Amino acid sequence: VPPTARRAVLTLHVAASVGWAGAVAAFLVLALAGLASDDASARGVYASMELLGWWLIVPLSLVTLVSGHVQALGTHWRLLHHYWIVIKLVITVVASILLVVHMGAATSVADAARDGVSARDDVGDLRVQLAVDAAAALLVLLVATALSVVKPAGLTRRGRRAVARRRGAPAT
Amino acid sequence: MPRWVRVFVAVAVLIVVLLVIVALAGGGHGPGRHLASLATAGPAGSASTAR
Repeated sequence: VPPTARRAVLTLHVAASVGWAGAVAAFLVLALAGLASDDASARGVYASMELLGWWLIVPLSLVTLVSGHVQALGTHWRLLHHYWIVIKLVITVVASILLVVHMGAATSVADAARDGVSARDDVGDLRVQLAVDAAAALLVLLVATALSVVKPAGLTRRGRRAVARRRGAPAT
Repeated sequence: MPRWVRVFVAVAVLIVVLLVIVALAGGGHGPGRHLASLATAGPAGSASTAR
């Protein structure tokens, strides 16, 4: 990958992944506000959360996943050579899947809020769950961000083999 | 495998086991809880929310 394209993808990856964490933080604030809202306010809060989730958080998670793959495969880091990249990959894939699955809860609560949340006992747990999920997601995304910044050492077996091959190869 | 990876994996496994125990203990949480609503969810659903 040419250096200019590499830097562009890196910029996109950093912006998307940090933006994902920021959007989840906003989602958490709204989820907490929704717990303390009356019916009229809750209608707006949960509608906002649904929009934020489907139109910002889900797209940012996908951009993070794709740009991370391009960045890893197009540079010397590779995808499966360093433990910190493998762990970030697992975190991103699992978080993206759980995000899409749990967005169903956000849609259910937004639907219920249109009827008035106080009249819908069945979504009480889901409202709490939205806040807990968002807090857990934010924590996991911060861990992934920390891994990207620290880049802790440690080559996987595949990474060690690649290094050995490079060292054994005749100089060009 | 570096020690930090072993610690990381151990903590992750512990959290997953705890979540499974909570779910089995009647937390009522699982993918099935969301799938029905997910079938009707999506950006189109969000657009209707905005009205």
